[in-house]
Amino acid sequence: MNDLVPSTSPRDMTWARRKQALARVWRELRHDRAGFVSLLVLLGFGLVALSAPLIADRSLLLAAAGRNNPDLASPSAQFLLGTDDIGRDVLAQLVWGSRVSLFIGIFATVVAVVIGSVVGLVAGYVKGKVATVLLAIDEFFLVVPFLPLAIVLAVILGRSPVTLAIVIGITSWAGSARLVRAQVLTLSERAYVERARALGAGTWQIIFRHVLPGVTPLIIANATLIVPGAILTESTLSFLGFGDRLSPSWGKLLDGAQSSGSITLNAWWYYLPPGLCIITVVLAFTLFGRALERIFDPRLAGR
Amino acid sequence: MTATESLLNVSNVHVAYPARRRGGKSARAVDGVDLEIHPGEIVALVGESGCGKTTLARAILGLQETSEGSIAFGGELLPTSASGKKAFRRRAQIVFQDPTASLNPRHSVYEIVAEGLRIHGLGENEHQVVKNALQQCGLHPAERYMLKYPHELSGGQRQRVVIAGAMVLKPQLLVADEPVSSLDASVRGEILALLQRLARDENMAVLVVTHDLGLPWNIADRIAVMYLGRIVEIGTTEELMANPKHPYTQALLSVVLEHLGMPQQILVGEMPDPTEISSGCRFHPRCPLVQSGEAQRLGIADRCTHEDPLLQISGSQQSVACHAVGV
Amino acid sequence: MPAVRGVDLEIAPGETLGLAGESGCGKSTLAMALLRLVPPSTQITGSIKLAGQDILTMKPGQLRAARWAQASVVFQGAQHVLNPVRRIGRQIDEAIEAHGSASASRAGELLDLVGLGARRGDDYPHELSGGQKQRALIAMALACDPLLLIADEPTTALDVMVQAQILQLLDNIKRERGLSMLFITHDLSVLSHTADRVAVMYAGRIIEVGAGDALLRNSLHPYSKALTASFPVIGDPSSRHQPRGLAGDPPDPNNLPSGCPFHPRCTVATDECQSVDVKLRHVSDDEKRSVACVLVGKQ
Repeated sequence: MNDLVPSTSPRDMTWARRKQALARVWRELRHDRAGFVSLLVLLGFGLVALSAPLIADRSLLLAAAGRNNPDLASPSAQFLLGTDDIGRDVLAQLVWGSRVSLFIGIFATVVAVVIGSVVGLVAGYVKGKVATVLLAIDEFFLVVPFLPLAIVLAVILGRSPVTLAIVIGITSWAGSARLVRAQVLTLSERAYVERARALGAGTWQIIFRHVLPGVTPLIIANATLIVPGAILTESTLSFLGFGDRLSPSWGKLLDGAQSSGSITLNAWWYYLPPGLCIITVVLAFTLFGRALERIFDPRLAGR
Repeated sequence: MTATESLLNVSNVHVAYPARRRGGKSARAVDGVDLEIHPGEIVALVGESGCGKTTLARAILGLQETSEGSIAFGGELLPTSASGKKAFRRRAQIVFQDPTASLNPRHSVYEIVAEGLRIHGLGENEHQVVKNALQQCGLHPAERYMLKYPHELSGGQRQRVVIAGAMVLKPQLLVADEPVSSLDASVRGEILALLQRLARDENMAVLVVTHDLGLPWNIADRIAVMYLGRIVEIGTTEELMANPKHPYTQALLSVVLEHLGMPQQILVGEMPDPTEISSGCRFHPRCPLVQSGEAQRLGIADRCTHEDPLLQISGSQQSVACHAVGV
Repeated sequence: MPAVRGVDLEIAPGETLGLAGESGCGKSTLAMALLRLVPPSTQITGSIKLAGQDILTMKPGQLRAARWAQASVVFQGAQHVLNPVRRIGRQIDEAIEAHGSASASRAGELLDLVGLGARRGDDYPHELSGGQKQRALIAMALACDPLLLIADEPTTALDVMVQAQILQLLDNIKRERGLSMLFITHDLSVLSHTADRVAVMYAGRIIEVGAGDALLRNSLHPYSKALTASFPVIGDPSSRHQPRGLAGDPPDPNNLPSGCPFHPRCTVATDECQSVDVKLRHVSDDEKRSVACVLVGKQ
């Protein structure tokens, strides 16, 4: 235990403590091989997505770009991953597609987590009639098959990346709400919450001082596990033709690959890369999320 | 006791939990209690688990709704508005049984003790107030403890932190619910000595809820014995312990004071559920006077089974609820 | 991590030995070790002789026979020990069956013996009160007629009156069957009534042992003195408004002080105490008292 100088103010000490906690998380993550490798993989994908303009020019995505290129050409020095059915560079589409897939995946998760956390928090702490109504709504979203719902919403709300992310977020929040509510219920029964009430704390003071800090690690770990689902949903929607009409995405590539018969033609460079990318990113997020859960778990138990 | 105005006046308070099932009986956890506490005095509320002492303590602090009766603090009824309740919290505080559970493991000692100040917006000089509270509760040097976290403290130290957290608000009444039961025996004395010292130094009334009969002998001015939701006997510690008048109190003391060679009166069975309170005197099914036939001899047997005895004065400061007293 | 550091104990037939100490002193570990009920990674050295046989060198078969038929345990925390989904009577039967002859009436007899009544055998644990569950545990412990009953904090969570009932029950059983008992507790006031001899443990060692009443009325080791003072004698003016306790905290078993482990908290510690850790030694014949303190028994 480090001996802090007595003149350290309590606020400095709180920050020092937070830094220490983060350092601990980092340390434990380094030891968790699966989690650490996954993090590196994700950072790699993120890097590629961010540097898309440096790797391939945007113009390569236009339908016109493929006019002078051979259709479904196998990989060569010029086209590292060959061309698609109308001659466009597959690698360019893959790299720009990663932007869309990752963006939608992460933004959708943010939407889902925000809705889920607020609903879970209110239902868990306030209880009563409000909670009953919220839980009923939550149940609806849990039970309804997400894909048909997503398709319907996509058609209604429009199909830009942002609206798609919102749509996917709407179909994904229900599970988080349940988790958050369960944790909030547990925390609000704790003796130190009763002590805060006895001291005169109001609802919001208790939520911010005691409940939220206890729920946040859970929300973070849960969020990283929602991302893979969101990415898969986006890919599925795009594959089915309900995704964004304009931008490329991995799902769209798969759709293109399938409808152009590249599978029977053995144009593996068209269907394999997007599929592998989806699987890799989903796996990486899942493993990373699990690692975070493991690291946060002893803290959830109250240390 | 001098004729000081009472700090706390509990009058005919009932706390009844509604029946779980339709047609079931309600649980009368507190079934008609009158209690007065004066500034600076230490009162022990003694009884076995299930007798309603914790429920009563929580009702006094407004943490539990009452179904009947009134509670007056400093001459005024307990406030019902949110802001009134919040203001009341500064005047009456509670220390719970398990100090470990009462402390948020993520907060430092400083944050825990300062919590009360921050809730009520008493932030100026916060550092000094926290420091004084920690030192007053025996945690020297305060600076060293401020930076610690609950898991780095022993049970006794944790309880001191909890008490310090209550003391920053300078309450007039401190309710301590089994303050030393979860602590090691050797630490018990120190915490009790602390409570006693705080009561004297701050002229603060302390209501200690406990099942341990030795505790009141150590620090309490008065003892109230509860059975099945009622106070069956109340008096100064000396009087009650030297001369218990209610058969329940007598039985309890006989079991604890074995060193005096008194014959032990071990009651049969256990205290019934608060849903099963019998008619007449609630103690009569287990009362040694009834079972030995003494009640019959005294001619009160009928009253014991049909009439609910009220607390009546007997002795200079003692009150007893028993038909056999004063016969 | 040494939980118990050199303990010598003897219990005569029909005798009750009270083992007193606070949390972390090693008393529960010692109790579990007596029947080798400790985790496999625990090292037990020394010898534990039960009715002449060494428990530590027994083969597994012999050990199983010894457990419950020669010595049995009444654990603390009754609610966590009883299986919540099986009836009480069945659980007692299981204990009997595990050791040979099963007899349906036996469970009923035992329940009668402990004051619960044979009919309660059909109840589930949650239908019993705390005191009743404790009685059920005692019935289970007596199922195979043991010679020694190890009771680990049997009355700790119970109310004063129920506690008195259980103690009376144990006393009756003890006298009827000539049972020996090791009664472990942190509550000294309980021992004054039940124990023939009392041993006080601190930091894994026994620091005082002697005849029950005498030790509790007049302890010699500074720790025992402080511990007995923590339980006030009601009616004694010296404890009125004078709660007495011990400063500091029980030591960390991983980080024991040098010399006598009690010296940091001891009010009469001398320089010698920081380096010398004296063993239990005989100080009085008539009270059969032994104390582990440099300052006691010097004459």
